[in-house]
Amino acid sequence: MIEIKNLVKTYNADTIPVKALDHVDLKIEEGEFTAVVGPSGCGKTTFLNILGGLDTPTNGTILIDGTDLHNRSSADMITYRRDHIGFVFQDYSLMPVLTAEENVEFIMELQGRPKAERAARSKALLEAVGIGDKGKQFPTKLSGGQQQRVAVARALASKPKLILADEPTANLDSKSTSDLLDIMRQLNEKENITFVIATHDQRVMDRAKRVIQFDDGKIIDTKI
Amino acid sequence: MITKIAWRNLWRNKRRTVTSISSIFFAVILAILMRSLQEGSYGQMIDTAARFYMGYAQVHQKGFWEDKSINSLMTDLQETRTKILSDKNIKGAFGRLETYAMAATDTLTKGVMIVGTEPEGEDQLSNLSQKVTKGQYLTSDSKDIIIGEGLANYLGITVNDTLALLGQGYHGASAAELYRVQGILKHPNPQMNNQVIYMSLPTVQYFVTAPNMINAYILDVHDNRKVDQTVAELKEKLDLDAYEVMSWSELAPEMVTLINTDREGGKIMIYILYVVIAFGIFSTILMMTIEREREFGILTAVGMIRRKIYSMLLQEALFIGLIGIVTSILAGFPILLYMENHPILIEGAKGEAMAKMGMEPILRFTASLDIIWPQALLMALIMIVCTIYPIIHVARIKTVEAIHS
Ligand SMILES: Nc1ncnc2c1ncn2[C@@H]1O[C@H](COP(=O)(O)OP(=O)(O)OP(=O)(O)O)[C@@H](O)[C@H]1O
Ligand SMILES: [Mg+2]
Repeated sequence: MIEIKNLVKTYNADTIPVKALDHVDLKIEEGEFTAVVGPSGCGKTTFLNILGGLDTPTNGTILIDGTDLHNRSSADMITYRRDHIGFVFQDYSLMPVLTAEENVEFIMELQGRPKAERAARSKALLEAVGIGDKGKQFPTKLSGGQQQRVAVARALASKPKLILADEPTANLDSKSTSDLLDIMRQLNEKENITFVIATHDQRVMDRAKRVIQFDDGKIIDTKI
Repeated sequence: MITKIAWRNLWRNKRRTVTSISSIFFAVILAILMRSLQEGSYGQMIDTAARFYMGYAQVHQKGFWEDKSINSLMTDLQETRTKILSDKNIKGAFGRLETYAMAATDTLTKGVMIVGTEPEGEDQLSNLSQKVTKGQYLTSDSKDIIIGEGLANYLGITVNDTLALLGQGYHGASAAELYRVQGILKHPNPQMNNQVIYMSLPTVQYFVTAPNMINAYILDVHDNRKVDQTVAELKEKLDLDAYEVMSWSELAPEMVTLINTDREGGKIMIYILYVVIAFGIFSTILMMTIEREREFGILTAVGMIRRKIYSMLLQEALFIGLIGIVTSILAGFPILLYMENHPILIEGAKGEAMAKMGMEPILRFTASLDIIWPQALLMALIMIVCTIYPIIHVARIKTVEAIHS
């Protein structure tokens, strides 16, 4: 379980302060499939960055299973992210020099897992996201939808309990979007992986179990 | 996998990588050729000096080199010769007795240097007989003399003329004798050409009243790069209370200084070339780094610790360096081997000018790994140094900002 308490993020504190997050309190249970929505500049990305340990809050804490996420050195934070959080980015952000399979394996190699396990798991994951036949392809040879599936497989590689996705469908057509959402919902239900997705996309909101509405750095509404 | 990524990263911008590799390739080839020519010309200088006069090493009576006195002669012993010749790098050894005297014709006099020698040994070392332009070369018991062309011209004498020599003999004996000129030679060393008189060893020994005595054994070697080792071995074999053994570098320290100064000059040229190349490489590596800031941000986001990113950058640089170095060695070494066996002959006026200065009109190269490995090492070092700042740059990247840039 994730407990977000009194989270504040102020940019440019010493010049023209921008309050990107303004006293956010929230609990996210294991196995949620939550969409974070709101107008542009309302703080969705900032929220996800801090929740993913990519950025630090100005104030407040995030407890994940009871321990303070940000109470770590930056080096420990990198390995924490590697082992516990999966990221999916709007533009897929795959390593262009690695094949689909290698992109997935790479995370496991960073974890120091044996080669046989890496190979088997990356095959299985690509299978699970529906592109088992594209393992040997480089990202430039794949469509946006296929690349985003590789990105989801990569995010799953280290067996994280939490996946954070910032506008994952923004660059996808509706067929790819609905396929990707099917895959994510399936993983959510079968593996009980928690998804937090920042989005403008109505289709994502429609498929979310919970929708959290931000405005001006504050939560203004939560729908289940 | 990091190595695999580094390798593949090189080929994301093929043209840039190939340009970097080529710049290293040409710099190293140029450096190797330059150094090879330098070392080749030093070898030639040493050869010329050693062959036409000094020998590659000499054995004297202990202390001779200090005073070079006619009184510091040693007895020519078969036993000593045998010991010297037993060293496997020694190609030949012969005795010389040198002294100074006054040469006089009816009207002119001049100070001369008398080299009493073993004509066959001298000829084996320097092909001296080839330098005889008029008359006959010496035999081992010639009673007559051959003289430098410059000296002959100065004195206005030629073959079959007679020359009076007046000097100091061994232990205060007087030395005065008349000699017939049996030949005239053109000595490659201009100074010697103007003052040298060669005669056979018995003849000079008779002149200075020092039968069976010499002041030096002149040594010829098979491999001139091993002279120092050979000298050390001879020092083991010979009684150092009686003898001193000196290599050409001890006999002509001024030549060693000259060579070292010139060599350092050449190296500085190479360093300047490398600094220019290094700037190009540095900017390439920095560019390769800066344009991938976002990628590095993503990599730290998904859990790649920075040390692995640094290692990736370093490997990329070392790959570039390694390819450049290896290809330049693969291409350069055969060139050196070829050039070593096919030196460039200098023709025309320039060649003649060199010959006049006592140098062979030839550009010699030498093929040695000693020339190549410092270049390889230096280049590898440059690659590492060029990666330091890009690594610092990556260390300063803020993950969130990089991702959203
Ligand atoms: N690095 C930064 N420095 C200063 N201000 C920032 C920075 N990042 C974000 N902001 C500001 O913080 C506020 C929240 O930005 P954020 O990117 O979190 O919004 P968002 O909801 O993700 O918007 P979008 O829907 O456009 O992605 C905005 O006003 C933005 O201008
Ligand atoms: Mg955003």
